[in-house]
Amino acid sequence: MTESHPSFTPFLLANPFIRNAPALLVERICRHAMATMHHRYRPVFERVAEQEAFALLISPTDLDLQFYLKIDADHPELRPARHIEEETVAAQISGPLPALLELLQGTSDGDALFFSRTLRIEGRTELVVALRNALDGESIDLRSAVTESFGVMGPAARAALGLAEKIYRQLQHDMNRTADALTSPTAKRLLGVEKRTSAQAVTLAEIEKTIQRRNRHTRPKPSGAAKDDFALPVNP
Amino acid sequence: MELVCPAGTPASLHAAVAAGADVVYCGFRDATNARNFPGLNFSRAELRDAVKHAHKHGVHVYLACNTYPQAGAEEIWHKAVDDAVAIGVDAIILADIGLLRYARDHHPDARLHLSVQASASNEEAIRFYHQEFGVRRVVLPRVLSLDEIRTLNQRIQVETEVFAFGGMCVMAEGRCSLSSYATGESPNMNGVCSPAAHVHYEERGDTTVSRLGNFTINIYDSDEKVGYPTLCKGRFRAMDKSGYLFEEPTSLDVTAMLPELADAGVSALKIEGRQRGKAYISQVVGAFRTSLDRIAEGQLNARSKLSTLSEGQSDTTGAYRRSWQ
Repeated sequence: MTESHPSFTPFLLANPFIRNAPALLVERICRHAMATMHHRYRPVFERVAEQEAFALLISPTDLDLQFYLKIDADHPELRPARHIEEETVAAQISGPLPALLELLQGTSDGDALFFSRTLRIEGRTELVVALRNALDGESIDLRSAVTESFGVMGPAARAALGLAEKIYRQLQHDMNRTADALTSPTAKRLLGVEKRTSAQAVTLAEIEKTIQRRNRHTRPKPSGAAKDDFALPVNP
Repeated sequence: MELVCPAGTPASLHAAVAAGADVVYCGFRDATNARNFPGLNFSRAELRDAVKHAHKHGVHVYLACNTYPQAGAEEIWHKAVDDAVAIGVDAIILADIGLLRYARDHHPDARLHLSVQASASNEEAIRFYHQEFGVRRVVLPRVLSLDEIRTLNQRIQVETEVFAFGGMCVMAEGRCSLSSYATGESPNMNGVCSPAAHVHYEERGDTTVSRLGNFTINIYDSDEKVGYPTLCKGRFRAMDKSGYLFEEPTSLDVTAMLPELADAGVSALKIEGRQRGKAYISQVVGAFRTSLDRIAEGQLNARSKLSTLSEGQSDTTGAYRRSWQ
């Protein structure tokens, strides 16, 4: 299983905090998130793990963190992955975190994300397909799941989440503009090169045609009776 | 024209109904339908609830039972037909003549549609299915041009349904053995083309390698869009050239020719994609609903904005405007 290029999303900015966050805190957040999901959407786990329990490696390409996700009807697990676990998981799903979250909530189509190469899959495809279909069959609402998991602090959590989403959208907008400013000169140059290459290809094709025409005119005419070009020479 | 939309899960059915479908088609969770993918399709209880929900909103439900029964296991297919009738679906989509006869004999009042899997593409074949089994609609294979569909509609007594959007097939529908050759399982018998258990992807540097069984289907460069891992859409090398020998990874989209299809006498438009997510269903069904409504209001310039959902992120009008023989 291979490493993907980082995706240019606002989650990249979270990496310094994630790298320096206490491992126990990250594990606890993961455990809490999984307990909430299992409680709210238990049928998903039952449907997917009907035949067997299995583990996946979830690799957000914009985070310096991978997740080990165990799909089990009764004891699912989500935690930061260790390097060695690449060997033990059934499949790996890679993509930018926003796309993975959209897939989880069914707001983006998995096949479309795959066609566009936003999402990459390695390993046992049938398990990933089964999970995708089971998730898509539910109406998963992360915003409600997060706010409800805060109990009496739910309204405050909802307000905080709303603010975070607003900041995220602003960051995304600014980052897109930055990316555009950085890449547009190179993109323009590439476009110019592409146009010149196309023009040269046309010229080359015309030259080839001219050469072929000249060769036809200068080829010596066959002498004697008509013969089969493909006939094998007969040994005397 | 009736808008016939796919649903692989109850959530997708709800999405289709909300987006403006006239009809939703779905299948049972077994080999009786041609989209037998892991985690997809309906249990009997789910279909019962789905039919109730759809009917409440004035939407019909069709049940696809369109694979070919395996010898000695016909009971599974017979039960699917019986259960579909008992649940109250509005039509059953069938392909096998034995199953059509079973449905005709045991459920004479059931509305029967002929699946694309039967590959009935000419007047005589369609007349046979109509006369022998009382088929009232035929889903036309994706091999016919618009003119051929128009001519056909003038000569047959049954309604026609044509594909309007979604994945393309290699135009030997119901008769293709490529998946079976590569994996031992086929859409015709097992309800699955290129079963996911036989599909493998490998990230090799900047390229993505897709395999089906022991066959390498394609090696995509980093800037290329990806298609489904089917042999018919593989890129192969022949005579020192590599390319898509059978079919390119692309999707059908007839948005721009909806008025012409209506004029050709088509009764219903089918959107492919029971294996797709509810986001796809919402967007595609919503877009077609809007286009059909605009056309009904006399605005004939419907334009598609669905290319990001297409396989290979490109689209075609397929054989409808075919330039080949």
